[in-house]
Amino acid sequence: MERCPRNVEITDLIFIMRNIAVKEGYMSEQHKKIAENMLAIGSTIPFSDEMKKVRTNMGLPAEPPTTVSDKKGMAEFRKVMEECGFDKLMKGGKK
Amino acid sequence: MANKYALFLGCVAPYRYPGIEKATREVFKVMGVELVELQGAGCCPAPGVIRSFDQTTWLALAARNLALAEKQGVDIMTICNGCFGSLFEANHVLQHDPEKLKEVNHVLAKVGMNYNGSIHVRHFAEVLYKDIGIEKIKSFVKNPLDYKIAVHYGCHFIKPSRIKHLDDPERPKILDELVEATGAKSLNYKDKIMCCGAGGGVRSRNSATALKMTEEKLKNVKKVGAQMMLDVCPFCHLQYDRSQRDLPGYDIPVIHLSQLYGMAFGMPREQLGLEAHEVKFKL
Repeated sequence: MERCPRNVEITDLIFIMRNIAVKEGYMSEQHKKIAENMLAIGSTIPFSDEMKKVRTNMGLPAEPPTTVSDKKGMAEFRKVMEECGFDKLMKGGKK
Repeated sequence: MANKYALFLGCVAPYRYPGIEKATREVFKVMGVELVELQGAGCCPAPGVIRSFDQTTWLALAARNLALAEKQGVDIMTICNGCFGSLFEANHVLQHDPEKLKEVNHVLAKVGMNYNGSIHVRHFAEVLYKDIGIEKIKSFVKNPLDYKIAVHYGCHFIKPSRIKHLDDPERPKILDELVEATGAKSLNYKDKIMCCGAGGGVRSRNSATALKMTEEKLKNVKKVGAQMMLDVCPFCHLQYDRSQRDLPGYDIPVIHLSQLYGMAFGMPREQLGLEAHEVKFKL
């Protein structure tokens, strides 16, 4: 995209193609796991109890003020995903 | 100069490398800049994976995070290239496409929220460079550093340059200057602007390919005698640090710019979280 002499937006095209693939049900197990984390805690990666200790030891609150600790925020985050059909899409394509 | 920003934490910093979060909070406190909390913020969401899955969801979730900052009347500041990439690009779409803004607000209304497109998305390195400035930063350095450092820009900080306008996408200099403000030397090396290998959903889906790219970068960095690698993205940070479990012999510690500034500003070492890294600092 930065170098294309015809100004083709390569990244944008890849996003579109990947979105089509997902809609058609083509998605790796590893990527499905990331989507599961998003639906459960609003993050791509899990947050462990062990990390709470690491945070406390350096003088940070055990839990950051994000969706992992904020129940209202997580409910909103999940509702937004559901309104977009993300939960159904992640179960196997076709919103 | 604004002296207040909403701190967007993202996922990898607070859940994997909290030293980055701690250092950011302390460094900005020292500089007299207030960071307000984004209570209930979620994933940015990640540009490589979530945007690849479904752009509608990606845009709506980003808009929700943007709306949380807008409600407080402050610009958002990220400490991660991925968060910067998603939030900046989503904000750009919402500020330039009234139809998309309308669609997104239809979704946000279901959770009692709304976004007007009134805020800016900032990367903390850009805030340091443009809003605070090199000369002022130098005045906060209590402990001048003399390391030789290989800077890693990553993909989403400068690019796409046609909408970000931060620096030259091929030969950027912002991070080199920010590093040298501490007294350290920023080295030139082959393929400096190449990806760490993790982005685009590659680390999760095809870790072997990600590892090959990481090794290529580490090789180039080692060749010029760098004592550490510096990033402005916790995901690149994780890729360089954790990949060295599988790439023995490089032994190149990884540091986020906030942690380097923490060191230079005289923060106690134990608060920087460096001992939680895979590759230990012996410096």
